[in-house]
Amino acid sequence: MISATNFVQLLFSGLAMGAIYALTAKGLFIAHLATARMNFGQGEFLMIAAYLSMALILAGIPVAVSAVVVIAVMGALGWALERFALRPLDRFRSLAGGQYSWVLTTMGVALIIQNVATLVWGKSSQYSPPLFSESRSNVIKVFGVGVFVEELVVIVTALVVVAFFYWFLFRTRQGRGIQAIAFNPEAATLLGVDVRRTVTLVFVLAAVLAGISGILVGPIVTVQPHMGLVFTVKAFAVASLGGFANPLGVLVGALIFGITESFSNYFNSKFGDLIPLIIVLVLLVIKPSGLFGEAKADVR
Amino acid sequence: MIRLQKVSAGIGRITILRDIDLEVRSGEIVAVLGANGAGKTTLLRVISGIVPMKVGSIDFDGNPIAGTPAHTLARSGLVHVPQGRQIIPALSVAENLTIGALNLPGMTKAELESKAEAEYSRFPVLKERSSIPGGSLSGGEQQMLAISRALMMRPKVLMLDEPSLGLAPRLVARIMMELAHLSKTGIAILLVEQKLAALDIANRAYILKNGQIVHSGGAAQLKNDAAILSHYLS
Amino acid sequence: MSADSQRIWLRNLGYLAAALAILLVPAIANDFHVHLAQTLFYTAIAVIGLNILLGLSGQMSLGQAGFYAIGAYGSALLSSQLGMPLAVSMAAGAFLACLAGLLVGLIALRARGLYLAMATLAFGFIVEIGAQRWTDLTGGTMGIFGIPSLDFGSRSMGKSYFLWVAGALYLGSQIVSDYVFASRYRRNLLALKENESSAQTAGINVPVWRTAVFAVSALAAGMAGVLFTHQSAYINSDAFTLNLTLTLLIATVIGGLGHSYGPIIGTLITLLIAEIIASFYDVSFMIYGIILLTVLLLFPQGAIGLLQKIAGFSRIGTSRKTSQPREPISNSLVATREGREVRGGGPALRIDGLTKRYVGVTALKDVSISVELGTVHALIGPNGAGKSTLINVVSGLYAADAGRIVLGGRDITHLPCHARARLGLARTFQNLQLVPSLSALENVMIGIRRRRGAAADFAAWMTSAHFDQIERGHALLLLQQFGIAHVSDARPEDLPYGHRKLVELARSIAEEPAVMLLDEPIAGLNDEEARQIADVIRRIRNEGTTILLVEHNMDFVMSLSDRVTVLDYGESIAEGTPAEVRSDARVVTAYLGVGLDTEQAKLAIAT
Repeated sequence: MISATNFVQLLFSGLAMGAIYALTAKGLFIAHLATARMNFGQGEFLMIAAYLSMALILAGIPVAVSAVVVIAVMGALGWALERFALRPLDRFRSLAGGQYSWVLTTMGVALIIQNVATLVWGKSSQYSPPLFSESRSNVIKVFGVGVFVEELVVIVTALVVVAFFYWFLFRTRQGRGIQAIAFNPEAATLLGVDVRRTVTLVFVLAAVLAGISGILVGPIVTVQPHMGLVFTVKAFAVASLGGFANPLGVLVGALIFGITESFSNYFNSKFGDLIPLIIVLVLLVIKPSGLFGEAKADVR
Repeated sequence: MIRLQKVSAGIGRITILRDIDLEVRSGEIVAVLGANGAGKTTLLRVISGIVPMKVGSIDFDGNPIAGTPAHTLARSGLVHVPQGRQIIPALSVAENLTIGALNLPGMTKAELESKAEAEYSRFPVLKERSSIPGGSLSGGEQQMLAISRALMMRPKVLMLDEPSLGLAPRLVARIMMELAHLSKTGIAILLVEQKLAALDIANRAYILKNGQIVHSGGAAQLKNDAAILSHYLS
Repeated sequence: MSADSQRIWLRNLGYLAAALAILLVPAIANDFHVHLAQTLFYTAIAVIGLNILLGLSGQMSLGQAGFYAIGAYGSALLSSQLGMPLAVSMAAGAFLACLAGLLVGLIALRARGLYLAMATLAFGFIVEIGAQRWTDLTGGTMGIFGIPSLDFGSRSMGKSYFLWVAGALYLGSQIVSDYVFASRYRRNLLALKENESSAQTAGINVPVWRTAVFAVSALAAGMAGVLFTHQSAYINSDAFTLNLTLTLLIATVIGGLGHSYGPIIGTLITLLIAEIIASFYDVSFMIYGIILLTVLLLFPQGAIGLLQKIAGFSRIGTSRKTSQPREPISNSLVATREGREVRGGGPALRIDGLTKRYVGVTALKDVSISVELGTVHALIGPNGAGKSTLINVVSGLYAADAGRIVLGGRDITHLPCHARARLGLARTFQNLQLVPSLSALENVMIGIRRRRGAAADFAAWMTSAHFDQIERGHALLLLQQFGIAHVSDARPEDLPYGHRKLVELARSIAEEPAVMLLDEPIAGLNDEEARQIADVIRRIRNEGTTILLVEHNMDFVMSLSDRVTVLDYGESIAEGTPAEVRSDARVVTAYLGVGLDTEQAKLAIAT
């Protein structure tokens, strides 16, 4: 059995990791929404952001400043990804393999990033300093149970960012432009939406989301050059679970995934992290387009 | 307001439009009639800059528009209501209404609101439904929304691709009436249709067949010329 | 010897030469190169499977390493732990992988695109983690030692023997792949990939094909895994990561996706790159990534595409020039119709109280139509009256909400689309549904039913240049009769609209249907083309085919139809002979309401 303390702690670590997955998956979601493509190196983007943030903080730069720098760098990286690894593919869309070339080009970029990280920071795991407290193990009491401050902050930040995205997607000119493109790029053009710029914006945003996840995740896991793939796989799983066209589904899917993982790891340290993936696989059998489905018209 | 000279266009190796000469002046309704596959939709797509033309020139408001991106044209008043209405189902009626106007240069919140109010009084049903998703409107309501959405974009030229498609007769009449009314405000209207009902409101008409204009003339005269109609529309 | 049979002899000679070359490799190569050749051959097998899966059926798998691993561990454990003979353990390993593929294929059946990629990625990841952590079974990263080598007991010749086995299996797979690319399998898989609804209505059982092609690609990956296991007599979990899946995918794309010889070339290039970059240890991944980007962005069609460009061919090996048929198979359009003759004296197609609702809209309201045998029955009505919906429900693309559909005395209301097609129901689409990457002729061939089993067809392909002569001839004959035989090798996108309509009509006639559903067959055609279509429809009607037709053009409908049903707002408002319908007040109102419109104008002119 499980004690109340353990239960609450597991719940919070699950929520924290779920929040990270939600942020990472949001990036996949928004890119897929607008372009039917996404960055298969989303996890590597997260990884490089975690390293950058760690390096800057260790160099004595204040957390807030380093976060801004990392986010700016990630935005630039997202721009470059779209400009050099994705947009050139538009010419080949109609060719035999053209439909899937983006999988391989974004993975190619991921390999390069991974290699750079190995060259700069080495292969071994490192610990990123905490962002909001003196030590990684600082706790505060919630309902009488100790909860790690870092985890709590991750959860809150993620919720704020997700809320911001919801607002962005439905309330701003650019957000509605993205929805118009998702529905029909040609119709969007006729409404005055600059499709090319909006697509670039989308990949910048996706990279920024990976960046925020990277900054937040550093202090609650260990950072190493090969951590990216797992995050890509899980973010992908979460986005599928939530339904690639449902902005709230991603959040719900991510939190369910994170909590399931947290508890299954506790009960079975060996195969625990497989359980959520198997659950996703089973759910995909029952609901082939995600838990919350895709509104038919949104799929194009 | 818009003028095409010797325009040819196509997709890939296929030529869809040949030697099109066409003009729409301010305050005029021009109908383009033709059967399925005659090239009507492509004609509008060429004018709005989505399909590049191969030969010829298009002037809009006195300026050649070759090479101008489609979204820029849309922002400068060359507004195209595409076939199928293209209402974004996930957004509300109100959001759909403003989605195009939002992209216009210098659009203020006040102007947006006053324009929206004007459209709501044009089609009161849109106001009643302003908060429901666009996807749950009926075909006729969607067509009204599509026209209102275009009118929000300060159109100088309004191009409509078969607005009557799939609508009940009563609604077709309602839409046509509204277009006739609009043209009196100085907007140039280019109406692509299969239905001859378009001739009831048009000043002039062109008949498109296999990518070429095979007849042009006054709408009233064409309407009564059964020989031409049966020959070219079959 | 004709040019055709010469081509077959050359091809078979090529296989023989390849076999000889494989035999000779050990004699001329050093140990390192022999090892490389072994790896090339078995890896290419897995890539061949992926090429068929992705290149032909269009299904993205990110889990091939999982199948590879299942084959590898299966044979490793059965031979080392249970002491099974290698032949048995290897077959069992490959079979297990195939079984896993079948399972994943079934799981992924309803998932498309990214969800399918996700499902397979999750599968691969689960196998990878399992291999790593289920140490009791797999030894994890420590691995399994003492796996028997495939060396037939000979230490000195073992490497050569292995090479020969791997080479033979590769060659066999290559031949099968060549056959797949030359036969109806390629056509059907491409139809599946590019136009699922047209594949269904041509009688292709989509779920079965989808699952089967998954199983085949898993079998190929499993065979590769099995060979890998017995190459080095040691395996550990590091070999089965997502990197392996990626390598296979990269080899497929670099070689040239959707070409039968893409896999072997792509595998060779990938292995060479791996050898070269291994010496740049620190930056090897970076170089790999850069090569990947360069190739995909500059040579998107892969090595084969590049070679073709250099050689000036555009479509080598995918579509061959069709020779004219020696003799017409038959002068009739509908060649034979054994076993699909409509039974009994009742109507060929009976629609009873059919109702179809979409969200908020009733598209069809209790519609009943009886289409008599050997007649042309037209369905008219204003836009949005529900005509296309009716065709879609009858052909099985949409399910009916109420009512019955009876084809020749048999209730087909609950049959899937492909089963209805096989019972003799063919259709065309209002907005054409042709398979873009097939030629006009091949599009027609999709409609033609198979005349023999896969084994007999394969044997015919091995020995004769004319293995599909009957199908080709029949398809060509149809195109000839429509006057478009000269464009038989062109792809749909290069054909004028009218020709495309004719191709689609030819495809549905090729199905030798008892009942044909034609959705606006002359929309967008000029007078001459419309007359041609009318002639064809008359001929097939005279040859006994029953036709249900949706069309706007009144002249066409009135001159061609035996009976006419008028739909308005989803309800049948009138039925009768053309003359009766023309004078029916309700019909005139239905049309008149729109003002003076095209149909009404023509009606006025016609009377």
